[in-house]
Amino acid sequence: MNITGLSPERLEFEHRPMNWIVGLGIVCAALLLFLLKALIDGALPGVAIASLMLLAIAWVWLTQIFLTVRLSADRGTGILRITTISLFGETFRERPLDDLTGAEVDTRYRESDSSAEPTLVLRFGSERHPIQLFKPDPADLLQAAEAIKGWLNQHQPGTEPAGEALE
Amino acid sequence: MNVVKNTPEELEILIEIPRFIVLFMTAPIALAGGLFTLALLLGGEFVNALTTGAVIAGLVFGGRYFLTQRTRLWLDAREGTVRILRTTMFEEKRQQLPLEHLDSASVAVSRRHERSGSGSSGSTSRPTSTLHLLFTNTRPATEVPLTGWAVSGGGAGMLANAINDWLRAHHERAEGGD
Repeated sequence: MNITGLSPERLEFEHRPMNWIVGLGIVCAALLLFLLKALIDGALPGVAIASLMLLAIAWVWLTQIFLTVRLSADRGTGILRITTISLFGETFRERPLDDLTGAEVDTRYRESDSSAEPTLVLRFGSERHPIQLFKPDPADLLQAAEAIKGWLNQHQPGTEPAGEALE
Repeated sequence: MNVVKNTPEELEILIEIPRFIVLFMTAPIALAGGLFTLALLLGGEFVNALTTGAVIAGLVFGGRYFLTQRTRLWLDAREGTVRILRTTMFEEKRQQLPLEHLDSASVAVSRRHERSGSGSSGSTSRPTSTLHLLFTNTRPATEVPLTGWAVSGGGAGMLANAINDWLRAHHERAEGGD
């Protein structure tokens, strides 16, 4: 997760798991070559096995790993948007920025193998909203949580006159 | 893996696999694969040569990508920051965190069992280790691995000792200053 935009008006992060994209990309490319070779040789069992493996790995790669998750908070529009961009399109969720009260890093341990899964959690009052990211770097999450808290604290003085005006 | 600078104000650490080791790991695959591909080409098996060559190239490229990843760490007492610079073939990523949140460095050891003889009694274990930083501003504390790869030997332990000694001295100076 990289900070791609940080100004008083706008905060933006992007997450792209490059190590996994490169690693599985190489596996997919190798399988594609084996498939082409099996097709040229006319080896039907080879075509079937390579196709099945390529489909399975490419499906996981395209739907779980080759994704960009972008978190953007904009004071101009007052919207917090979490966008997931894949080859199949773009999906997003939105919340009013005023609801966002903080961010923290929470580490859960998987019950299958006890491995740690650090997650960035956005706090909307008492509600906690974990951001699902594929294999994030814990240092990125800590930095993102600090940046969100710092950015929201900058906002505090600006909100006071608005509240007084309503009264 | 070495300590580049160790002063009361700053600790700088570089974590990388030496270039000659990367070369020793990738060059034999490239050379043997290249020769094999050439032999296929000379034998007139163009499709086989193309497939083998591409797979070998992918292996060498992947190996180089993962093995040349480098991490540089700075603990800066004057600015009160922990700075991490991670460099790969494609990108350079900088991270900055408050030094006050850094509790310590630790080494995670994993044992990979490999069979060295026949039967179940012929297995040995080769421990490999990775260096982690422990940040205690979260609950539970967050462990940050500094590299994606693990190494055998005492390098990670040496760096963890250097970081912990520096942090201890830094906290003692800070308490003495108060």
